[in-house]
Amino acid sequence: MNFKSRLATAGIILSVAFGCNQNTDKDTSGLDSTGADSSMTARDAEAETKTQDFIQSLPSPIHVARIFQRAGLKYISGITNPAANSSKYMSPYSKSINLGIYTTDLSYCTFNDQSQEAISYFKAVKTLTDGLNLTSIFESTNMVPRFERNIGNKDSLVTLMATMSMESDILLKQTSRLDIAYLSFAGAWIESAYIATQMLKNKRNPDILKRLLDQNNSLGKLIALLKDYDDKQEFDALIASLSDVKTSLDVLNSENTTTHEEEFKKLVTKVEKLRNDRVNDN
Amino acid sequence: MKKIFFILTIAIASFGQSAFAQCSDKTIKKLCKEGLGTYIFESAAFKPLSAFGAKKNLVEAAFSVYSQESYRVLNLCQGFSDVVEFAIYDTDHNLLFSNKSDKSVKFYDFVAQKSGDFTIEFKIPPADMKSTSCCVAFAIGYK
Repeated sequence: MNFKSRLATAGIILSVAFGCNQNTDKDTSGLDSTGADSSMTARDAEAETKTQDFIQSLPSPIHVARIFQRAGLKYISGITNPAANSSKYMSPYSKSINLGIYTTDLSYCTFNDQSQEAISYFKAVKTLTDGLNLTSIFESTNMVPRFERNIGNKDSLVTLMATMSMESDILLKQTSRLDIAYLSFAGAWIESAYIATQMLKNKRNPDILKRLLDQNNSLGKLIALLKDYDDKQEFDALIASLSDVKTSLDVLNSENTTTHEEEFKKLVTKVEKLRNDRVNDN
Repeated sequence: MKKIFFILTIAIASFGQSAFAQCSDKTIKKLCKEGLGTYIFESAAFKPLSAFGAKKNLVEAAFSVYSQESYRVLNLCQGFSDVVEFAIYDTDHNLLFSNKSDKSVKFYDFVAQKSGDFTIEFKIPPADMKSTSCCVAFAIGYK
């Protein structure tokens, strides 16, 4: 082997070794095929540096659903977004938001022992993650068959949902696809607030109301994080609607209780509109 | 000569891989599964130390908690010459925990008294401040 051949061999070994990580990132991010613009990654990096040393950590939608369930949130048939709608969401924006909505619906059904519905929502979540080129979340752990095999075993289903949540959280951060992470969290936040307010408007449960008011903190964080994308019309509209909901939660969290009843009715209406607009947005 | 050239190439390539591996998704997932025990994954955050700038000796992050919920905070810092010291502050910024007296402790379990934001601080060992292979990382679990 002459010097040129050795150099070429060394070059191939080095490019494979160093290129692996870059290729992994590229393959799993798939930004091009989702239609997300290429400036998004640079913007994500900028967003990260703006907020302390790490990006603000948001709670897991599965944990939030669990907290509501512990507070007494019961299953109401027909309240969730039908899983069959998952195929109609076309834009990365509507896919991301409804991914969060379905994650909450999946958790809500699982914690309330609605196994068959839970399977439908697990598949709906997979449809949307595939559509966003996040296929590896399900593929790496062969999750759908495992979920189906464990129907009726709530603990196992919760473990599988937590695995899905970990795969998703780490993948989105590793590939700097924070726009999807924030929109998905927004969808999950909206759906959990929707289910809680629908129950509260019929029957007041102080524990559920307390947990709903607790969501004001994560909503404030979410709005701040979304503001890095407010030059996009759909983000701007979402921020405006979420801020309007936050205004009501601020009032309900205040010590002045004289306007609470009226404000609660406003909150229910705002959350209904916010949620139904996103569910019906293709 | 041929052998030396080959070994050198493999050595350089391996070094590159291990530097990347510290903050890789696979490493973080493996450490989460091992360290969270019976706690359920809530979220993780990770960044190479170099991303914070060369003079950063204290790295800070905030995470949300809900009252009466049980949490585990897991220190997943990797690649440092010594165990990284970490401290946790509650919603009113009272110090709840520090592993200063026993650096081998890598997690802290607690029940949140109030809903709000907790803070975690990592003290970077001076010897590692210019390192390119260290990863600052943590995970949160709940029950």
